[in-house]
Amino acid sequence: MNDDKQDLAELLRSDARRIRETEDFDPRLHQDTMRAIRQIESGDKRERGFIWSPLKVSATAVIAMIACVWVLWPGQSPVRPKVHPGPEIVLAPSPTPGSAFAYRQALIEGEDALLTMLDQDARVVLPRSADMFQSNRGAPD
Amino acid sequence: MQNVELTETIERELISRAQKGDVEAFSSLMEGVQARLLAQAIVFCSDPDLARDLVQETMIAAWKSLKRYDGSCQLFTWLYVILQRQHGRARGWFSRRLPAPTAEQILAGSRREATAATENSEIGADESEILRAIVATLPPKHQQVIRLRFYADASEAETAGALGISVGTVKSRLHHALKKLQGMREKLNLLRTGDH
Repeated sequence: MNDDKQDLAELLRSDARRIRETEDFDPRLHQDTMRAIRQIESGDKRERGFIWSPLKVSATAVIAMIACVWVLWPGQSPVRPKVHPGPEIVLAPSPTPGSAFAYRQALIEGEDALLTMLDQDARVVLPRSADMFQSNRGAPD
Repeated sequence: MQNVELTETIERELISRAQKGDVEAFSSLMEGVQARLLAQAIVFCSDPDLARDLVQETMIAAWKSLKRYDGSCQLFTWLYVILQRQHGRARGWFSRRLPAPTAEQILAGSRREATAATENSEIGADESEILRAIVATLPPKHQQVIRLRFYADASEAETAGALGISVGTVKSRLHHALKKLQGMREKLNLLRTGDH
C-alpha cells in the first residue's frame, strides 16, 4: 500500500510538472487585471473620501455642541458671573403656631407672650362665642 | 519580462510595498506568478477563457486581502488557495452538490478527450486526464491538500499555514486523500482490463 501511495504521489508530481510547462505569461490578461485593480483602488479612495467627509463634519458638529453646553452650563461655565460673598444670613425657622417649639420661644420672650399664645390657641380650639367665655364674662373677678 | 524570477528578498520587499497599497509592486509580483497560476486555472476550468477569468478574479481577490498574507507560506501557495476558493464559488452551490462522476464516467470521458502523450512528459495525456478527474471527485478538503501539496508544490508546513490547519491535520488528510485516489485508480484499472 505504501508503494502504491508512493507511485500515486509520483504520478501527481509528474502531472504537476506537466501543467507547469503549459502556459506562458499572458500580457493582455495582466494588463486587464491591473486595470481592474487600479479602478477598484481609485473607486475605494473616492468612496473613502465620500464616507469620511460627512463623518468629519458630524464629529465637528458634536464637539461644538458639547463645547456650547459646557460653556453655558451654570455649574461648569468658566464665564459665569462672579458672586461676591455677602453677610451670612441665618434663617431661623418660623415656629408653627401651637407647636412645642413655638411655646418654648414664647417662654423665652416672656410670660406675657406665653399667655397671649395660650389665649390665641384657646381661641382656635374654642370659638369666642363659646359658653365658657360668655359665662365667665359676667362673673366677678 | 515574463517568467521573471524574483529572489526572496525582492519578493518580500514587493509584498511589503503592495501591502501598503503600492499597485505597481503588486503588478510586479503578479507578473512572476501569472503563467503558473493560469496553468493551474486551466486544470480547474478545462476552458482557457474561463481560466483567464478565474486568474483575474483570483488576483483581484488577492489584492483586496493582501494585508492578511502573513508569509507563513509561499505567495504562490497563498494565491493557489484563493484560486481554489474562487473556483469553488464560481461553480456555485448547485454544482458543488452534483453527484461525483463514477469510475465508468471518468473512463468514458478520458477516452473522448484523450490526446497523444507528449514525448517530454512522464505521464501521458490520457493518464493525466484521468488523474485530474479522480482528484476532482474527492471531498473539497482532500482536494485542497492534494492540490497544494503536489500541484502547488507546497510543503506540509506551508499547506498547513495556507489552510490555517495543523501539520498533523494536513498529514491525516493527505493519507486519506491518497487512499481514496488509490482505490479509485484500482477500480479504473479493473474496468480498463475488463474492456480489453
